[in-house]
Amino acid sequence: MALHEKALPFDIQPVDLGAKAQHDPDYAAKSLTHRVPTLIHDGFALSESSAIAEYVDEVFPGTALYPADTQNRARARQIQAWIRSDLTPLKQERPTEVVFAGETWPPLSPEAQRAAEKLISAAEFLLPDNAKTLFEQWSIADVDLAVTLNRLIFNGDPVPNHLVTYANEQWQHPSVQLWLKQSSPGN
Amino acid sequence: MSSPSLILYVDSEYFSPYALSAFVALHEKALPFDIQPVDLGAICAVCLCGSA
Ligand SMILES: N[C@@H](CCC(=O)N[C@@H](CS)C(=O)NCC(=O)O)C(=O)O
Repeated sequence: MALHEKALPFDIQPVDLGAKAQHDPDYAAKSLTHRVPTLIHDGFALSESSAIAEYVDEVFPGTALYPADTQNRARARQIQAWIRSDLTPLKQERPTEVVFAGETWPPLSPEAQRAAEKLISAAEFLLPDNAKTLFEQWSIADVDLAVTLNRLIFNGDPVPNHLVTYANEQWQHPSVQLWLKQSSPGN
Repeated sequence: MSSPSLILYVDSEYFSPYALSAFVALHEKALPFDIQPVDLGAICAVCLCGSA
């Protein structure tokens, strides 16, 4: 895979938030949103995952999260916004427990089936010629698209082979794998 | 020990696809950051995480 991964000094430090909350000056800012993810950078609290990705990309060096090309960058943002705002019946009938906890859910309703078809045709348009990434290089939108495809794939729903290959390869991304170790610590 | 300048709040079950996206974004920058899992305490209406 054409993916760059750097060695990272990184610790997962689970805390009992209930016990710690009152000692954490940042918690008040965070709790206003009541949503995850929320990033706090030197006291600046930011929620909305795509806003977080854009902020992090602008502020820190390292692997680029968005394409350099203006239109590709706009397309990446489009994909992120679309995945977050559409496909609701599919998300309801293929919750992320399918992806992160190995659950299998019943066959899709017609409404969710239509959402699945919309997802698949968009993915086929965006990933011609068995592309391994949406753009020339990996971008954060690949993670979002792969998670969404995996809602179907992990449940055993039919998805074209090359999209399965794409999503599987994206799932091997070291940063994704590190997250998976948290969601199933036994593995 | 100084407090870390980067803290990412995520759901304690690690089921949020949006928390995953933000986690990957930070991790790709090869910076140290702390993870603070939050017990959402209810089913998330957006991604249904917590419905298990
Ligand atoms: N559009 C937001 C969605 C965030 C979101 O829906 N977070 C859910 C977990 S998946 C949450 O915090 N739910 C708890 C609540 O809304 O109270 C993003 O991309 O960050």
